[in-house]
Amino acid sequence: MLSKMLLGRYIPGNSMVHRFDPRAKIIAVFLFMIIVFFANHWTGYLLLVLFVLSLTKLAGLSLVFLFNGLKLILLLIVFTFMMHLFFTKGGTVLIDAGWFTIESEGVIRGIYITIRLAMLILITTLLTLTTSPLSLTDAIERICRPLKAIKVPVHEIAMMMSISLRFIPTLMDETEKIIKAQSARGSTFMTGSLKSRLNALTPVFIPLFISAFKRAEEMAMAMEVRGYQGEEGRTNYRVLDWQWKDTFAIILMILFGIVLFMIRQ
Amino acid sequence: MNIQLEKLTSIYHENTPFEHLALNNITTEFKEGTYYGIIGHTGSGKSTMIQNLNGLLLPSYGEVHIGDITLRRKTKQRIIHLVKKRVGMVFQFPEHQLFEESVIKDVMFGPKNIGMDEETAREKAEYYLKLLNVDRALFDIPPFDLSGGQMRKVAIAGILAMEPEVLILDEPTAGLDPLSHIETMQLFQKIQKEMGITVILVTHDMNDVYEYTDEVKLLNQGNLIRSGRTEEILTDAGLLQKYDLEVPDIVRLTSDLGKKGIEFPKIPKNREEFINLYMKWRDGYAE
Repeated sequence: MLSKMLLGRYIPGNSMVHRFDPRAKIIAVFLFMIIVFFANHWTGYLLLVLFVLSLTKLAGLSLVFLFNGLKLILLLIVFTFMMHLFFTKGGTVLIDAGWFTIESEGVIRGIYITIRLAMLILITTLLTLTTSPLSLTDAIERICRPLKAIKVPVHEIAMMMSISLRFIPTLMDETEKIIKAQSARGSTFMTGSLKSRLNALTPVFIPLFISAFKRAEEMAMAMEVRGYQGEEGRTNYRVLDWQWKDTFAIILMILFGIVLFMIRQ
Repeated sequence: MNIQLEKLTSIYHENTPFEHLALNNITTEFKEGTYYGIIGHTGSGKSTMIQNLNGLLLPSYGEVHIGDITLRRKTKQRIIHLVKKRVGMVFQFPEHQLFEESVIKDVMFGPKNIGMDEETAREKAEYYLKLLNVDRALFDIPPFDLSGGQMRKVAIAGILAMEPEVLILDEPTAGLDPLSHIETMQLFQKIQKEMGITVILVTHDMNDVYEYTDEVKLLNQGNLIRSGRTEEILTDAGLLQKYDLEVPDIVRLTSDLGKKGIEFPKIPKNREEFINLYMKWRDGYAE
């Protein structure tokens, strides 16, 4: 079940989207998050959808694949739609069932917000699907470097991020192993009352925490032994390379934003 | 209690791009009271096979019969739970599964899960801890304060205390020092003989397989290649090499000696037998 989740996963590839500088991608996604809110009627939303769909195509990912991976998020989107459907009032009354009414404004708002949310989720998923976690953290470190002037430990934070990302699959494997070991000892996760199921989690979490702490300690030791002492005097193995196409992509994004702003009503 | 695999096929991530055939149409049997070894190179399907034997994995196709219980693709959790009582499994690095606040409580966890009452569970726990040479003074301390070797013993006691009819061991000696290695293997042998249970050993250590098991199943890329007496399969150097497996030291030594003219009437099974055969050969030579 977990293996099908797409959130935070990286699918290696060599598409145009994959090859953009990660900094450009992060900035573009950030811009997109603002631009999404410019749209306020049909044409605007249509443009947004077209934009995201063509990006997906460019990244060489199939829509079916994306859809399957984001099924869990769909629940959230449907929920948002329902909220608007029932609670946003205005316009003509479409259905009046006595204790609740559905009004046209609610339907329209619901659809708009749903598109907004879906596009935001899709674009951020595209970012993580096409950018390896390590280059993502590299990019974040570079983008946030100016913050060092106000004493934000940018390098340390980026380091912590890449270490955590690195250990997600390891911990997943470990969890699976411990679950198997405990269920071989007759522990039941699938049956019984909610309370007994929750109780069954203790034998999983305690060994998991213990091994995570042990790993952390070993990791810290190994880093120290190899002379790690923070950013001072370090160079990067992976060097980020900002090219013309990256600048171009950002400009395109800004233009897209301007167009959307112009057609606002 | 016998275990039968009938046309067992196991597929991971079926119908996705990551689909992987781990076991391919396997039909075989594990007979009561026999010590089995499952051998094969990494990725041959050994761990998939043993996980199918106690319901941790269910067959994608085919059936697994454990005594009178049958496991199929869609068997209910309630039935799978019954299998856990009968088939115990010691995982690789079992000490990673310890979690209770005291050694004795951790050992009692399994027995209580399968329905033993507090008192019986404690009795069993104490019995098996003692059997594994864990000192009584350690019973009430947290298992995490023990040394690695002792933690392993406590974890193994936790499985034995459930008194399974079939005991599956997945690389039980990985990471142990040579002395504990021998101790642990001899202990399993003793338990197997005394209690008459079935033991299924999965390991890369061909010396252990040769010395301790009665029968061997050889897997390669999800297929069952051979199944038969240990002495037959593990002395077949050609077969072992074909599937990237080591020839047991004692078998190799005997055949090397044979080439030098020191010929034994049969290939010894362990150290003592080797010494005996050599002494006999010497006596005969001296005459």
